[in-house]
Amino acid sequence: MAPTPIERIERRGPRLLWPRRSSRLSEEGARGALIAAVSTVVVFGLLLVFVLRSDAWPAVQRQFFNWAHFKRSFPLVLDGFWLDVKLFLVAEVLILVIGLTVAMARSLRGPAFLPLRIITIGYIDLARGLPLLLLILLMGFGIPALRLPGVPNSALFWGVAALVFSYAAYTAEVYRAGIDSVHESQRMSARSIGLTQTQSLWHVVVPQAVRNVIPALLNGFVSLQKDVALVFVLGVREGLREADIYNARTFNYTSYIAAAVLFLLVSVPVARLTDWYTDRDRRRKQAMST
Amino acid sequence: MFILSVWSLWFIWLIWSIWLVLFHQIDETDQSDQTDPRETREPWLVPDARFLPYGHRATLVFETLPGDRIAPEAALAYALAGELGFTDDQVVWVRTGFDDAILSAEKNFDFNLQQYSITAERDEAVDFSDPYYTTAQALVAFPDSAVAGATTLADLKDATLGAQIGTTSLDFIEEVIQPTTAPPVFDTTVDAKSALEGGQIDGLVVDLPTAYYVTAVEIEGSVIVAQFATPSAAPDEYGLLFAEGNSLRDCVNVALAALRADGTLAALEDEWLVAAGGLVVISE
Repeated sequence: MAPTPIERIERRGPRLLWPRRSSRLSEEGARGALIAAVSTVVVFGLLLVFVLRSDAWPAVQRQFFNWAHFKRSFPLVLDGFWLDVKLFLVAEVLILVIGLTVAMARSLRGPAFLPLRIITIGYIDLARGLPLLLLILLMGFGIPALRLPGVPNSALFWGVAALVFSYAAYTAEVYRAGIDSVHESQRMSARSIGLTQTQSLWHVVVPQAVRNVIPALLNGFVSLQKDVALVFVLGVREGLREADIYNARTFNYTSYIAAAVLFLLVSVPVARLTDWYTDRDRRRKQAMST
Repeated sequence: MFILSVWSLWFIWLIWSIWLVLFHQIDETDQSDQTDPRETREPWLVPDARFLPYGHRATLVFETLPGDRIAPEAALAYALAGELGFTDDQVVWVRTGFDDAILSAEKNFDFNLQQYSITAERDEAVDFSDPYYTTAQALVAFPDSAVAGATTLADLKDATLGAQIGTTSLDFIEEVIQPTTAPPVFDTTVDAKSALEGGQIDGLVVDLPTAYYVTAVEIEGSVIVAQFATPSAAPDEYGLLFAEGNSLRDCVNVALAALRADGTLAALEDEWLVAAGGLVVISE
């Protein structure tokens, strides 16, 4: 049985590194593959030779790529890195929920909702306009210094709060772009069958909007996963700070490489997941339009 | 065919630019060898803002005024003079800057005492005597803190103690006090101060001279809770500063050894740094 157009498209699989080609050009494609392979080897080979030939390379290797230091610092950095992962997970859940709430509040129409819109716009401008590090310092050191009764003074708590405060604003804007991308007719049809404004947003617009912006949200995941490390300024012993401490003790930078490896181990799979999802989504849309 | 020619052009350009970079690099290193080393050293002659606190400390806390016997350094100078066979009125004081005393070519003193930590970098420009004081670690906190009444290391086990990154104080907390909570680590004492004020840490461990400065100038209302008897693994050591190659240094070292042996150095430290601050000494 001949494959349907959709099956044919899906068989091709994800194309991350390799541009799509039509079968008519397959001969050209083989030559292209050869050139690509040769040029890749030559370019990266030359770069490697260029770096390794440098007079300073042995010193750099001792300072940055020292295996003995890597082995000694890795367990310490890993220990702190778990805290980063936990902070990331907690912060991300809060960010997704709060971001969506803010975006919905901002998307409500009608004069009665004007104060709500003013508040959300003000919040988004404030949170996106301030450097994250500044927010962390202000909230992490400033609020506990007030010594208000009943307000937690934990550096971890306020570090996460600052991350959520900042990232929820970006995420709200991502959601809002998604909400705006859903055709107006969807909202109008929902209203015409008797749903209230909030109901039509929640049941009709938001599900489509979220699906449209998942790649952008995943992009935010990758970004947040690195930025959680900024809570180190509050004295928190997370991965980057542990690397920092090791560096200050031994004057060797390999601990930073250990931290870099750990951050990459988390962020690269998320990046690939984003690519895979975007690719699948595009193929699905192409299949729908055929 | 067209694609191939574009590719080969691109290759030629790439190899050409790499060679350019290589040659340029060689050119630049040649040039930098010929530049006058004094040009690159010039900024060092500008007074370094980071040393300001030390100058403040000398005047605010120790009150090192020439000729006055009201500071540990002055007392030490007279004790050394006596040991070397001079009378008190033969001691002449001159004022010098902190960095200037290290860097100036003409030294208008036999030796200089301004709490100079002995470091390898400074040792290249000047000579140091044997250390006359080894910094102790101290605990700084607010009087209402949980650690305020601490008299033993066990009292500090459950406390959250902060330290500045890259200091021996951090090693001291982890290796000697060994609290149950890993010590939070800060970039500056100002950050540590914020954490102290916000109640995020119970106390801050610094070396004793820094503790005097921090409590007097940086953290209003804080006190030195105690000094620790155990020194840290790599403490700061203060030495007398001499012009490079000054032969007087050997005589002073002999005198210092004598003062150490007869307990004068320990008595000075106790009088000026422990008793003067009314400090509790935590030994175990």
